[in-house]
Order: sequence, then structure tokens, then C-alpha cells
Amino acid sequence: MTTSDPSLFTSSVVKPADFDQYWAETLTATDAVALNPRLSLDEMRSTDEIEVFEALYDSYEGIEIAGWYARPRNFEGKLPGYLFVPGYVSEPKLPNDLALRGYAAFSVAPRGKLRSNRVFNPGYPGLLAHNIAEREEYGYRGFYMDAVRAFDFLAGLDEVDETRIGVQGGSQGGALTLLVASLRSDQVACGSAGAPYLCSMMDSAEMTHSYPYEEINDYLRIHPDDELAVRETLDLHDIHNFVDRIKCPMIVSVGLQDDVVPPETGFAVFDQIGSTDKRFYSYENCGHDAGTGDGHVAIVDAFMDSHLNPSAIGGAG
Amino acid sequence: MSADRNAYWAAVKDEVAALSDSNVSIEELPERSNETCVVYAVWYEGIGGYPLFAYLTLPRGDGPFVPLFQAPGYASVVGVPARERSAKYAVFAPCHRGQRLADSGYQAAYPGLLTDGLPGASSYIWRSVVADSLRAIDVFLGQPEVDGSKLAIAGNDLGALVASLRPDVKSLLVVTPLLLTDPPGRASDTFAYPMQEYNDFKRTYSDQWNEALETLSLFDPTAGAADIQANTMIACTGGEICAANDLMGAIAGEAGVYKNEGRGFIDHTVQEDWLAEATGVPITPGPFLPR
Repeated sequence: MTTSDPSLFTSSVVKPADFDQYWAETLTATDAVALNPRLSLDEMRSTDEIEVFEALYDSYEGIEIAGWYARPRNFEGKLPGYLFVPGYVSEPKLPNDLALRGYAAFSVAPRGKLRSNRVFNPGYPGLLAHNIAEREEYGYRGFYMDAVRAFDFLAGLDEVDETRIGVQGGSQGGALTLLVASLRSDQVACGSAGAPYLCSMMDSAEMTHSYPYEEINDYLRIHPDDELAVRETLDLHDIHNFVDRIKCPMIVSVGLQDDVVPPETGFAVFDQIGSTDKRFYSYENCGHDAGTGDGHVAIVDAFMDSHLNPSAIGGAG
Repeated sequence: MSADRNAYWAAVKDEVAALSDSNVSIEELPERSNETCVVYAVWYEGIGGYPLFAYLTLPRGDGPFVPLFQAPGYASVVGVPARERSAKYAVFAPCHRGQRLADSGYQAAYPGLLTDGLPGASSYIWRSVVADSLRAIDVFLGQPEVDGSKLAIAGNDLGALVASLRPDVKSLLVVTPLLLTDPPGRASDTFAYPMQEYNDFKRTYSDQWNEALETLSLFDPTAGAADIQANTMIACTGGEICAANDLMGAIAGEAGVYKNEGRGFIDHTVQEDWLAEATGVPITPGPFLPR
């Protein structure tokens, strides 16, 4: 139900009866693939203060996934881990800023993004509607597993304190933050989800003409008879249905005039989050930036640092 | 514009002009068209015989339409133009070589693209990136549905550089981030990508940095801004305000700087309303739909 007060929105998402079984089977299939983690130092991106590595690991269906790993050059003991998960069209950032703050930081490129797209490459637009009427084959099934495996990759590094790993991202990265915190609920220490995408997806498509959700409208315009199948697939992959498993501290932000991710869906998914230690930030006159230019970046940094306790090394250039 | 700069870009423009009779293929994309516009895929050739791609959108109804050229951003993906634009402008959204849909011969890396081919002026990849943009404008204005006398450009400072090479640009909206404007000065103040790419290059190839600076100066839109005749708005962050003011001050046409408030809905509205007013199309509500 859409109302002028986004906090009153009621999601139409339904949790399928086989939701838990489907994802248990998917995780089991993912576990059957050896992680095979690899790191290779990138001298050009490293500095006196930090080391940057190209990272690779294997994921669901045996697909090779790439990412950037950065850490302080000099450190003692274990480092807190920081998983950065990317937006829909953007390439994963190189997390040198996080390494300078004292984190072992991993920024992943799930399947379809550059360096992870040799086998799976639906493009943009494309990913959101890839096999959207075939629930077992939907593109986000493996994409979600790539994000979960990114957490496993980081947690498995010798220098990372596996009790201090946080997850953060905006838009699709917000969705993946909530996903990883749900499926690794005993391990994620904290999370920050900005303008979380992939929540109440069918409702979202009705509330906007902006991409990526417009991909759903484009598909249904050409394939109107597939609507029930599309809804079934999306209910099975909707972040709204995962987050009751979250146990860690979590913050969520939305822009109240966001055309890309309708803010209503952020309110709704926040209500579903299982953790009692959670806080919601809404920003008037903001769109998909969701407050990042209006002070929210400092809030996220302070929140993550307070739970993960890094030792900043600073420096630039 | 200096003699060296004049000669450099004149050669590029000659290469692009030589493609004027090369084949352009256009095909409607029914899955992306809607009640307000028709979306097309456009394939054409860039310099060196490179295959390029663009989205073209035309509003439903009778033209000719105001042509809005979207300069490619610093990202691997070029998206279908937003409905708020495609409903009222003819929009051309090209991929330069290396971006998705134009990556059959060269794949851009992020980070990497900003310094690829430095230090040489002839090998720097942005020579081809700019050429691809100039070629795209030629293809765009070759469409009978557009009014070439009202050409507008929107995008980062690649758009400003292109406008300095196209005196027929009438309206120019430059948005953050500024990538090509004063790179050595601005990169030294940050470790954030993509500007950090300049620092990475300088640190790794310090013996080539002076030659790289000479090359980069050819691409700084401020150096060519005296040739920008367009009515211009530069929308920037607080950290970019000095560079934006320098660029504004050098532009020949009417120009102003808008410092973003940091609230995306307001900043977006200011920019799109300015563009509509400058180009003479109706100011319409933004993409956030009424509830």
C-alpha cells in the first residue's frame, strides 16, 4: 500500500513456504565449491602506508569472483575487517581509505561486474531481470552467494579478527549488507545499509520509472503474462524476507525523495530487521544519496569504528 | 588556446571528420521504449575503425527536439537515459571505447582509465575518449528529429572539454566529479579515487610525470574554456569550488557555478531546471513520483 507517509507503507512481499529450504540448499551448493582464495599485491595502488591486493576466490557454480583487498602496511595483532559491498552499476571502490583508517578492507565485485564477468555478464540494464521468470535460475541467486563468500574470504584471512568484521554499502550495497548480516548472522559484528535496494521489489517497480527497478517494468511491458512468475521469483530473493535473522547492530538510511529506491521500502525492511540494536535515519530533500552529502557519512564512520575499533594510520597520496 | 593545443585537437577533429560518411546503424529497443519515448540502439564507427555504441531516445510526438548529449561518465556502465530527460529532449548517451557495449577491442579498468596511455599525448587513451565523444555528436546531429541549433551537453568536465571543441554547443551543464580540471593540483589534496589514479601514476612513474603533466594540460578544459560559447552551469561540491570557479572564469559564454547543497533531490532539481530553462524546454517535475 502506498501512502504519502512512507512509514505507513505496507509491503506486499510474501515469504514463500520454501524460502528457508531454497536458501539452505543454495548455501550448501555454495559450500561445495572450494573458496580457493588468492591475493596478489598491486604495487601501483599500494603506498608507504597501505598495501593493496587484487583478490580472487571461487563462488556458487564455480564462478571466479574478483575484488580489492587493502590493509595497513604495518600493523600488530589482528585487524578489524570491513567488507564493502557495491552498488548496482558502479564498480567496487578500491578501499584504500578504509585501510588508512586501520581496517583490513575488502571490496568485492560480484559476478557480472568487471573482472568477475567472464562467465556471467547480463549487463546493465540486464542483471535485475536476468531469468526473472525462472526462480531457480535468477541471476541474483549466485550474486547473493558471491557477497556471502566475500565475507567468508575476509573472515578467513590470518590477519583479520573474525569477531570484529562489519559490512557496509549503499543501494545494492545496502541490500547486500542486510543479506550478509542475515546469512552470516553469528559472525557479522555490525552493518550499515544506505538506501537499501532489492527490498519490496514489485512494490518498488510500481513507485518509480527510474532504473534499475524500471527493468522490471520493461520486462512486464513485453511479457505481461509472466507477472505471477516474476513475483514468485522476486519474493524468493527479496531482502525483506531475510532480515529477521539479523542479530548485529545495524543502521539504515533513506532519502525521502529517492526515485531509485523508494524510501517506503527502507522503512518497511527496517521494521523487519531482527536485531533490537538498530537505528533508522531518514533525510528530507535527499534522493538516492540518502544523506551522504548531508552528514550521514560521518555517522556511518563513527558507527562502524565504535563497533570495530580500528587503529587509524592516516596519511594521503 | 595555445598553438600546441590547437594543433593537437585540430588533428583529432580532422580524424573524426573523416568518418562523416561511415555507416551508422539504428535499431529500436522495444523493451526499453515506453509511453513517453522511443529508445534506440545506435552502432557507429570511431577513429581507428573502433566500433562504438550509444542509446538514442526520442520523445513521442513530432520533432524536431532539443538535442541533449550526455557526456560519458567515469564508469563502466552507460545507462538508458532517465525518463525525466527522454520525455522532453532527444537524448544521446554514448559509450566511449572501453565502456560496456563498446568494449570489444579495449576494456577500460577502474581504477586505471584515467592514466592509461600516459605520459604521451598521442598514446593517452583520453585522446580517443574525446574523439569518440566528438564522433557521437556528429552521429547525433545527423538524426533528422533533432534541432542542431539547440545542442546541449550534460556531464562531467569531459563535457566541458568537448564543448571547447564544438562552438555549436549552446547549453552546457557540468556536474561533479571534475576529473580533468587541474588534476595535479587537486590530486595532491586527496587519496580518493579516481583522482588518486594521478597520484598512483606519479608515484610509480616519477620520471615520466613531467611529460604526463604536459599531456594532461591538453585535456584540462580550463585551458580551452575561452572557446566555450555555451551558456554554462557548473554544479560542484565544496571541494571542487576553486577549480569550478577557475573554469567558470575562463569560459567565453555566460557561466555560473552552483555549489551543491549535498541534498541530492534539491541539487538535482536545481540542475535539471537550469538545463530546461537554458534550452527552452518545459520545466517538469523530477523523477520522484508523487505519492
